[in-house]
Amino acid sequence: MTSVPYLFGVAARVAGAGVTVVGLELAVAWPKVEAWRRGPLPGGRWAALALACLGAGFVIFPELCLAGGGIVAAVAIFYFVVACEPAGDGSDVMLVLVLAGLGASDLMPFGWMRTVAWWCLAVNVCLAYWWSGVAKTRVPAWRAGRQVALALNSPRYGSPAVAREFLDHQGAAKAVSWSVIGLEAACPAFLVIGGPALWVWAACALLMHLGIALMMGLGRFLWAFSAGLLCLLAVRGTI
Amino acid sequence: MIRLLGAAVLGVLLAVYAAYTALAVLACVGPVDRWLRAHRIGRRPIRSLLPFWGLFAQQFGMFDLDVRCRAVPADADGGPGGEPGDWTALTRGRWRPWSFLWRPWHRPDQTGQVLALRILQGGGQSAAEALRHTPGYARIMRRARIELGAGGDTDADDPIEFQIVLSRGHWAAVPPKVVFSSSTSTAAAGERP
Repeated sequence: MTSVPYLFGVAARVAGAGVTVVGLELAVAWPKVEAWRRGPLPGGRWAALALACLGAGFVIFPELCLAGGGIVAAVAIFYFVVACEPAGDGSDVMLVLVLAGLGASDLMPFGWMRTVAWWCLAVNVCLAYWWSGVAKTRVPAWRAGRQVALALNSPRYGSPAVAREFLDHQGAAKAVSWSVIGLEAACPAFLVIGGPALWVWAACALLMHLGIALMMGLGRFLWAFSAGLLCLLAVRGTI
Repeated sequence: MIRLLGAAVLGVLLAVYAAYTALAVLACVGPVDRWLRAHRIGRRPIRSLLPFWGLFAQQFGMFDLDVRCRAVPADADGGPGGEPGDWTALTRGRWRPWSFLWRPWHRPDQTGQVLALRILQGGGQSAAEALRHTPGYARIMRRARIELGAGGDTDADDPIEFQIVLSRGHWAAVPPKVVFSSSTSTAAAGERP
């Protein structure tokens, strides 16, 4: 399997791409984001542009992210999420958690501190998948498969052609629904098993995020969760 | 000495990250989750500071809300005077084939939808008068004023109204429905746009 430092490096690059997209999107949409706030936030657009530059820096020099830069980016994104509440979403939370863990990697002076930071990161990523899967089993529409069709039928989160297919073929919608639930809820089991099984699980999860990005237009989730998946593989590889 | 100080600062950061992770895990347990929701840090419940991945299992309808606004001309006495202007959409980002790469309007749209949802959860049309004094209502009015070029001042007497519209999707047989109107005198809730 691939070496742990290499995996963390790739995770830092992917997270950097995510940070760049977050910064650029915030900078472009800033007048409207700011208009929803209780009052103006001067300098917000420039701060978002600086964040985008920092993210681009991580893509070119991932060691910058691992040596503390990730913590700076995590704090910046956290600030934007709080200041512009409720403009943030799950991808921001995942990106903050991943960046905090990655940023601590080369910064920690003792090996045991690095190990604690890495495992906190892995537990957070694992929790995100497990909780998402289990929460879906509590919603009748998810269990019946109807929720997938309805979400894709939304003008904001779905393409009309794909929505039509899922509305017409409820069996397919149910199969997709339970595949997603099973995949997400099984994360802790695969983390414990490790090895090739975890890599196969991660590949399936990546495909799921690709599908969500393409069909629902949620590209930021792809960057944030892909970085999380790479971290999961890297941390498991340290054992 | 500086190295020791640096190690101490990093130790504190690590302790915060570890405590945050531990709380996030413990929040899966029902009684802990309820305790975290009941206790606050400042104005916020502690639970709101932790990740809530259950949102990925949200019910249909949450993100099918749209907000629109228009100017209502006022006469010298401050009452309605003349025909209102056209509706202007405050949430207009739709799925496009390139959305997976670039979707900057997603954030402002999401803000509008969540604020609209809070208005509906706060009682909707039946509690319209009470809702006028909530922060969410003021934020929608501020956004509407800026969109209509009237500045961000949230003076309640300014002649602007907004509506929350619920859509049922691409292939729905029922048309979008107005579920909240800030104006009690003109548009009624339940109106088909």
